[in-house]
Amino acid sequence: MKKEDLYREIGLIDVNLVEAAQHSGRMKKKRSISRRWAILVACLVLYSSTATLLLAKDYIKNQNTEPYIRYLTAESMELQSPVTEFDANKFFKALSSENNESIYIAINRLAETFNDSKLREKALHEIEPFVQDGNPKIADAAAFVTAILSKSYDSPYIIELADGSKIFTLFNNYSDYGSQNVIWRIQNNELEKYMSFTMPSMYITDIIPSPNKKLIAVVTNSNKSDFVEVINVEEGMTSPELIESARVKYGAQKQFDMWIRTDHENYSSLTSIAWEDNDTLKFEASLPYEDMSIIETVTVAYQFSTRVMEVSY
Amino acid sequence: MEDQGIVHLYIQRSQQALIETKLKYGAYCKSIVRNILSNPSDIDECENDTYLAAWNAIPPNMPRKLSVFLGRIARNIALDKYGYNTAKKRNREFEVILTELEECLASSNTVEKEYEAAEIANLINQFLYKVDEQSRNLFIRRYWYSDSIEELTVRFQMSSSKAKSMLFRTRNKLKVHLNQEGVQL
Repeated sequence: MKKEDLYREIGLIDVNLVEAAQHSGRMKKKRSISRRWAILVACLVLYSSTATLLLAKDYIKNQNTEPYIRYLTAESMELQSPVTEFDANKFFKALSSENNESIYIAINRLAETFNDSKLREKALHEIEPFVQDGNPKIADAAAFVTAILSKSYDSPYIIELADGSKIFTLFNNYSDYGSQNVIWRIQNNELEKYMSFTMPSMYITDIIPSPNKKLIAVVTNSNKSDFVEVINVEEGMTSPELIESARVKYGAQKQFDMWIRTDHENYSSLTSIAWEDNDTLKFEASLPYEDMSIIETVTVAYQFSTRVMEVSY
Repeated sequence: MEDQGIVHLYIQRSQQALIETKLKYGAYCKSIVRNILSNPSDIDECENDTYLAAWNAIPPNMPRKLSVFLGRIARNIALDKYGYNTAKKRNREFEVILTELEECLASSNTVEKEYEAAEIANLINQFLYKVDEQSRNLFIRRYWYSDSIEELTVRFQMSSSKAKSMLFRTRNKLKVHLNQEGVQL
């Protein structure tokens, strides 16, 4: 047994003993403060503030000699302050542009005015005319953003979950591959970026809620591969990526030669996906092995609560 | 807010439970974690992880004493983090506490037996109920709350040498007790 294990075992001792020790020993007593003590305390405060100042100076000096970086961000590597804040005026201005691409981007970005009532009203007023626009992509985006900003939420792109929160992506189907790689969430009347997916996922193709709306299956892709994750938004829990997990599991079963690429592209694809019940997601996937010389189409069933995956041919 | 009220909020899955926990037990959890870790970012992370773990644990768990329940979680999370940190970043005070506990373990050439979780804890419980109250509280403050010797001297109004010698004697007695119970750690 290691010393850490013994320390951990001590953590399990009787609750009553721990609680008794919590209040054991000398208790702090309130005492009246005499003038002499007050002067002494004042001197100590003066001394400690001077000492703190000197320590802080020393700390900053040491920080420079021995740097400690906890999280290395893109901004810190560029020695820049954080990226500039959301600038709504830039997008309002773009609405009057002649460029359809700028208008489309501006309409989608103005959904981010949701948390500011004045800006939200203004955005709603200025976006509404685009609902009748001759360009179907712009009209579609305008109808969608209007549904968010007016809080009517009557859009097929918005999913209401069991906890009452709403989730969606912006820039819906902007590419042949899918939507912007960010899930947004409105909870307690506040819009927030809920999550995005790391590379190689580039687009969100589909968000499929479970029948009881407690879980969502999110399909993402990268032009080359499809990926699926199941997320419990309310609890903030997610499954592992399921297609690659199925590929590894099935490959091991069949003893196929299998490599995992450093770019994590698996060249697998999803052919159909649906919830079997409130907890089980079922999908078909084509999984490549041995440098794509073998492609196996399998059926995968994944139970979120038990984290059990079954892969069958 | 009373502990019962806070637990009730957890059962209702109200996020207010986390706010109330932080208000009532934030400083307490932090003090336990601070005795194990030294990095401020680690301490904040462990404090937040404690609330998340409590959120995930209640229900189904129903803590008898919420403070001890939270303290136990905070202690385990901090210990995991401590093991993960590199030697350079470790808290030296806590390293001393672990080294003291090493004295209760058998020498490295003894064949180790696997013990069930909490099996040793039950034996330590038996032992602690046998020793006198002051030794017991001193031991728990040192090895459960991870108090420093200075903190113990202030709390129990004794010299540091007395605190150290009392802890030394209690550790030796514990080792004998565990041996008598047939445990070779």
